[in-house]
Amino acid sequence: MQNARIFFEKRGDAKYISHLDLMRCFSRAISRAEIPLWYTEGFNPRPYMNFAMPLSLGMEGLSEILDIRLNGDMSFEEVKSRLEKVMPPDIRIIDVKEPVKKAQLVAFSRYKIEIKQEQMSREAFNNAVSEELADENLTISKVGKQGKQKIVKEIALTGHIKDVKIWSDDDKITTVLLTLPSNPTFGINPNILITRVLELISVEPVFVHITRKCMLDENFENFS
Amino acid sequence: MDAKLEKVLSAVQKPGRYTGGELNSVVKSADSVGLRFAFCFPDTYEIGMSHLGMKILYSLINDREDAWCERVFAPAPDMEEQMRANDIPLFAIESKDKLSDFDVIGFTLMYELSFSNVLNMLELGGVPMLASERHDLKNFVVAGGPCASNAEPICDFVDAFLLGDGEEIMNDFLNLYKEYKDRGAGKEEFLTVVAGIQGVYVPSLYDVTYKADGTIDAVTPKNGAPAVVHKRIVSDLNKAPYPDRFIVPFIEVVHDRVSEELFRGCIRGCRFCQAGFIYRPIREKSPELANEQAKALIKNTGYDEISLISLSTSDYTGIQPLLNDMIDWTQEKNVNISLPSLRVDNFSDELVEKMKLIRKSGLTFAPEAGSQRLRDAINKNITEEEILSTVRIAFKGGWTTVKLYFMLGLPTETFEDIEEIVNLSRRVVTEYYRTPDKPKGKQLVINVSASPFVPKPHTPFQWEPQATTEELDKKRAYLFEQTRVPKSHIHLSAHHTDTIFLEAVFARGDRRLGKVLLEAHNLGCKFDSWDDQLRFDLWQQAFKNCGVDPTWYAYRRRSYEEILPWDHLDYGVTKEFLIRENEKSKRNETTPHCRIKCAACGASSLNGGNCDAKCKNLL
Repeated sequence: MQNARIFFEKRGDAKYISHLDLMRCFSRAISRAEIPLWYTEGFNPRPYMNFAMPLSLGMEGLSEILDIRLNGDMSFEEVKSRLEKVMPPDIRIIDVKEPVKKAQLVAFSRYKIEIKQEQMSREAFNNAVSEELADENLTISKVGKQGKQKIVKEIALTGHIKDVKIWSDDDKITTVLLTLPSNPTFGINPNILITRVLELISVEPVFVHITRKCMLDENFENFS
Repeated sequence: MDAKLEKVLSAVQKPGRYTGGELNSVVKSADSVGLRFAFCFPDTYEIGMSHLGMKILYSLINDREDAWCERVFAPAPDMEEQMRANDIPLFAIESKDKLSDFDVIGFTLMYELSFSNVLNMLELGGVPMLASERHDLKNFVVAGGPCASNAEPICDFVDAFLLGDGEEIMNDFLNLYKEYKDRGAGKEEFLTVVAGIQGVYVPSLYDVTYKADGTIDAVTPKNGAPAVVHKRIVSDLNKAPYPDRFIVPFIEVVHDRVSEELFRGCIRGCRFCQAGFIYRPIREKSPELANEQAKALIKNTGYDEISLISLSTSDYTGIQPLLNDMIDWTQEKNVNISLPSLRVDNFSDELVEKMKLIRKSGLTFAPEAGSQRLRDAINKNITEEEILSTVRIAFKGGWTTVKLYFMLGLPTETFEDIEEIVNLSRRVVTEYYRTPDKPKGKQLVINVSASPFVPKPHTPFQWEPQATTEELDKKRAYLFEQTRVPKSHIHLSAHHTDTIFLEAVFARGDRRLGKVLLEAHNLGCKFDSWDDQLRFDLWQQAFKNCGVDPTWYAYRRRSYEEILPWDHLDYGVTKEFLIRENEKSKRNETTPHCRIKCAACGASSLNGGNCDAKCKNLL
């Protein structure tokens, strides 16, 4: 038995694949690649597979993580080269390595948010977004559950948004880089955040593209 | 992908229905192919992607270097709303190019209730709906599938129907199309020539006249079109093209597994079943080839389930050797085999032993009718003892959930036949308690499903009236009253739906229904097979607006002499055979299946006299 961590990209049309569908997609890919997977014991054996902090629908990811457990010997290079040959076009294998930290220890995610808008000048827009992100009173609403009841919670974001960079290479497209908490107990969805910010400055965007660049540990180091 | 579409995709349910990019989907360069084919399935992605015919034709067309076949599905209502609001035309999911960019637009017609979606898809794709309003060779609309066997109700919207096995006719059609397209020929000229290919039905080349009583007076071909169009068939299934890879969808589809087809046609001749007649004659695939193809499909898709399909899987002569070959490698790879369409009269202990090795799924048996008399009248050819012995084998084998499938409103049905549905279900329950080695600790569930019968073209019951909605409601109410008792173990499902009536109208309709279809579409009808989408009130409005009485189509008994709207479409079985069968049904007489005695249905004439039922005393 050998643990393996697969780093992969999920881009283009693949961003519309939900977590459950991605699970099925990888399980079939691994089967096509004839990679010996370790199966859970029990009445309905299932292969051991675990995604670290799955992406929300509609976002691209440049360094996503899937942990699998191999049954028998196969080198990581072999796993990588076999998988590369059988993946659908928009999911690309970047690397297969031995996991260093447990997947539950992912603490933050770094996102790139690209916004196209035609209502404001780029300086005015970039400044407005910066100010909102820095505003101590900024909150987002999150739908949570209390028992069986759905409740809407207002979450204060003070101190949670880190390492913000904003620039424009193009007149109409603004790029925002930022780091947000994303761990099993607390996470901030960048889509909800940016939607809130745009609402506050009354901008109706032409599009918003969100890409997760990587996941980070509690020391803001690249997760490995 | 353009920004408009991207924005819409983030606002709809299951965007994976519209994005493509699945493993084994084919992407070519639009400029490098001379022919672009849009394979349209008039229902959602999940249903369309479960359809074997599409997989076969997708790979067949894409094997041509000069052509690119892409897929188009009906957008779900939420997506359609967004597309209309944002001016996004219906597109093919491989290239995202709009439907009107395609040379040939091919629809598969699996059920009558998808007709309104065909119109809706053409409109959404920016293609004129009426064939008479499409003047060029571009956007040439073809259609095939079981509903092409009575093409008339939808023929105003289709340029040509391809009758019979698509893999046999498609390349002949495409070669000719390509030749005429390259030559810059006009549509009229092409229509006349393409009608000369066997299996191609060009409805605009036929004039239909009517008698005063509304029945057909004559169907007259013109410009040299054949008086009768004979369907095309694959003569040897071992030589027919079959894909070695299926597209593997990201999102879960209805039949999310590999399908291996074992044979085409059916030896049984159940008189209500259209598939049992229109796919004749029988053609079997060898178990060796089926095993090889199954292996390749699993390898190239990574699926963990394979379904062995046909109209009646236990009638496959190679079933034992095939299962023997498959058990080992499927177990090693954790692949589940599913065997749909089993019959009760040859469900053997041996088969059960094999099936126990396979992961357990539900068992469904179809007695179709409650009484022996009615089972004989519909030629189901099974006895009550066979049904009971089968469930006994199943109970012994560890099953505690069994589904029994019945029909309501069959020709000659009386109330006593309905009572027998209840009695038979109860006897199945009794059989369970009598089985000494029945499984312990699980609740027995007998799921009884009772669906209304719809008379279909090319069957012995094509002349029969459909049971009225009132009759069906009465029978259904009786069944519920009898089975909704505590500890009955019987779970009845018998929904009332207006869809059955519409299906009956269109199944045996003529071309005068075209205007009703268009009117219903204009009123907003679509997804008629979905209970939550069907607008029966709008359909009634459409019939009224067009001055058409739908009950004339659904509830009228036809005479043998009447010219039926599909009489000029030949599916092999002769009218004389169908009349013989109808008469026997009235006398509650059965016809033995094709391996016991050839019933001389006539279908083998399409295959040079060959039929894999291989009856020794061929007539």
